[in-house]
Amino acid sequence: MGRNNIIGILGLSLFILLFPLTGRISAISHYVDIMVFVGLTAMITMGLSLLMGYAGQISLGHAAFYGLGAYASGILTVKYGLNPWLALFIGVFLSAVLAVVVGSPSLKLRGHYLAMATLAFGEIIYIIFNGWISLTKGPDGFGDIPYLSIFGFSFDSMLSNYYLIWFVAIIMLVFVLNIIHSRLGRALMSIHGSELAASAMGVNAARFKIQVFIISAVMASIAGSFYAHYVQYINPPVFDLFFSIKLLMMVIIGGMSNIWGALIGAALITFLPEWLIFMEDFDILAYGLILLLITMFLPKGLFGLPEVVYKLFAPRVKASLG
Amino acid sequence: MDSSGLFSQIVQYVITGITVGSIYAIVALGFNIIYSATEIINFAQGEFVMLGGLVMVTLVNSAGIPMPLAFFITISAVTLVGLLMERAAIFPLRDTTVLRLVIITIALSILIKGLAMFIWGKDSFALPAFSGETPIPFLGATIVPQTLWIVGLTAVLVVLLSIFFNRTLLGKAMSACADNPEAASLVGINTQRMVMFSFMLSAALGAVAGMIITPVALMEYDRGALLALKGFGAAILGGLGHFYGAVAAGILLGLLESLGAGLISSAFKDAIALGVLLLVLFIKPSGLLGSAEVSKLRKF
Amino acid sequence: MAESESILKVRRLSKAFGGLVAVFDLDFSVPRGIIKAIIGPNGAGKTTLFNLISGIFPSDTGETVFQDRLITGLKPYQIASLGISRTFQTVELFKEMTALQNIMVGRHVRTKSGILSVGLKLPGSRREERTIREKAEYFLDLVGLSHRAHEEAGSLPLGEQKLLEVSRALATEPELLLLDEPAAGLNETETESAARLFRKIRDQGTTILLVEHDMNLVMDISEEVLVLEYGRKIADDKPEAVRANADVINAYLGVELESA
Repeated sequence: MGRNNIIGILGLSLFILLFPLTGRISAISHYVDIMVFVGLTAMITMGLSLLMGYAGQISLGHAAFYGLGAYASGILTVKYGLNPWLALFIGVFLSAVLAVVVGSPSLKLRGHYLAMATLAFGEIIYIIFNGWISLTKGPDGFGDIPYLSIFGFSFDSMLSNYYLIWFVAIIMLVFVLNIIHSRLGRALMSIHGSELAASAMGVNAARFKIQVFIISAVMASIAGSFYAHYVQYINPPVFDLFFSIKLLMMVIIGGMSNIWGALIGAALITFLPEWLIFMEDFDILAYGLILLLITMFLPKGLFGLPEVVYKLFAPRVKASLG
Repeated sequence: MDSSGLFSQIVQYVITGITVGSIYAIVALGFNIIYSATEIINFAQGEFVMLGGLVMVTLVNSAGIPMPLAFFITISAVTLVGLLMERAAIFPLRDTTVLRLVIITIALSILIKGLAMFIWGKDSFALPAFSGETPIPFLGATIVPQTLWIVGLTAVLVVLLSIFFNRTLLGKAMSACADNPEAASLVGINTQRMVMFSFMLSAALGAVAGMIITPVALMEYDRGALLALKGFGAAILGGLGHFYGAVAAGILLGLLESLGAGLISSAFKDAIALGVLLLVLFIKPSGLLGSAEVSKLRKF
Repeated sequence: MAESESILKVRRLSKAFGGLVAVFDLDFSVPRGIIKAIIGPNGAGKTTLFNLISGIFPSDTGETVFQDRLITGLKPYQIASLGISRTFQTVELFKEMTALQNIMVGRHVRTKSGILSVGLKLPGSRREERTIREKAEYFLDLVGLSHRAHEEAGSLPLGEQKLLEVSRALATEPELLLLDEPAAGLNETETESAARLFRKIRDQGTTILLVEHDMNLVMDISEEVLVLEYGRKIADDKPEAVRANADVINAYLGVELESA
């Protein structure tokens, strides 16, 4: 996968390992908790980045898969006493099936139609979370979800969840990077480059798109399950349209076809309320403005910033030289 | 329940269905107008409706301006928003990818929603009904006067738009632009201007929809998204770009939603229209009236 | 010629777009191991024919048989995996990928590592990746573009882009190679080296079917020439015979006279 990526993974692992030390500094002692959510969100954005940047699709409803994983885990463990890991797998299976059912017809659509279809799908799932009260307890939400545990060790502290979640996130990162730097990644990029030529080279574009959609749905579902067992209480607003839009923002800020960007985008947007404390009333406004400005002026996300800055100043530099 | 009770219930649902359906029809028309001129789907269409309602609320309830005057001020204000949107965010990026334009209109819808939340907060607001609230009995059900305003104004809008696009110079220019931009510009029509007007007209339409529905359904800052989705569903169902198809589909969608909610389950009312949207997109994206071959030729 | 000596057989192929007939009742075959050219005035249906053979859209009537196997109605990626590869009139490279990466995509049909194998970096996929790179480097070198390996395909000059596209198609190790106007936009030197390349490809066992306007190139390298006019076959013979064919002369001259 290239030396840079390996260095990045090692560096990230080290950073994650040592980050909890910041818990000693009282001003930012809650940052570790925020980082747990960054890890969860990163699981989703990595999959979304694969979907948007590499497969060239868009999804405005990915919060639905996050929610499916969370509710599957919550309902199956609390109501039916299932083993949490089994519940997680069932959630994954459900999400994968739904991804196929919704994705197959949707991915034949293009551009706006696909965006609308995923938007509608996300909203329908949200309405079901709210409306199927006998199953999900509706707007009241769902509590008493147990902690995860392996071989008797219970993940019942913030720190243990932090390491567990980031462990899984980093494994996912390695997995996704491996895919990108392989014949599959090249096939994806080729579809993006010229679907006509890609199919002439034997790339089954339709199947690839659906496979990536499934992968991204599964990753979001796993994240949702971990969320449920960490926070131990879930309710519909967590999985609403606004969260889907935030996910979109994270991917775009990071530069769509950049998996590392997906991580950085997740971190930035998750920490944003922390840094803009006055944002209470403005938050939706701020997000809208950020998304607009980034899409208009930084289409390659923050990684395109050097290029944009260069273009701004280059003509003047040339003029002063010439 | 006895059959006359069921019958009058159904009549009530039908009345409600036609009422909300009219709103969906107007939103669908708004989508069509912008789509025809630009091949863009304006995700912020629902926000025009929301603004129409809330601005009118402020003018009438807070500033005490008489309703007829407030009506026109609101239309002007929201039209201005549409104009600003187009000039600031759409026009500069007219040559970019579909994906980027999609995200831009999404961003705009969130921005406007955020502004609305900042200005009006999260509360729901009501407007006084245009001509009183005495219910009119009808076939065992009741019609509120506002419903007549809604259906009536929708019909008037449809007629006005039809005249506009077929008889006026500006309207014909916009149609020409939608049909064949290259030929239109060859004939001297400023296509960029037409795009701008399409946004303004859509905004005005949305504003009217918002104003007439608020007396019966209230209005709050985040109503836009669902309205846009349902309006888009109507637009697609009727075939994108088909004028009368949008109107018919809007009413149809409203009826389906209302009857479904009343007769089957109201918890999932919104999901009905969304489900219809998905079905149409999956089975026949060109809509009931559209042609599959033509839709294949579209840019996206 | 014996039936099994034809690598490709086209039987009564027709395709119309709305009212416009692009290809009508086309019937011809391509013997294995030769270079066959398709010529004809503009609008004769040559590219449509290629698109039909490679599965981009379905024909209205008729069948295409490749190596005694019916391929009518198959999707492009399926046809590619059976051994037909092609280039495009408008060069369809993956512009933002490097030259080498473009060729590596050409190896897609001959490789098979799946998601799990790749994601977990199992030894099988690692080995396959190495082979992909080696073969891609070989094919890149075959067309003399090794020095461009890590440059963006979109940044290459047109002549090299066309070569790259041919090399990518070759990387699929096809039995039949469809070339759509490979010499368009090339100067004389480039055309000559292209001709040498095509002969080399044929000598190594790949059958070539090419659409071309450059008559010198056509007469120079083809062993058979198919002539289309208004979607119909008006000649299918050796180059010398075609050149002397009155109908063919008429088709081309007729066009010239009309535009004069």
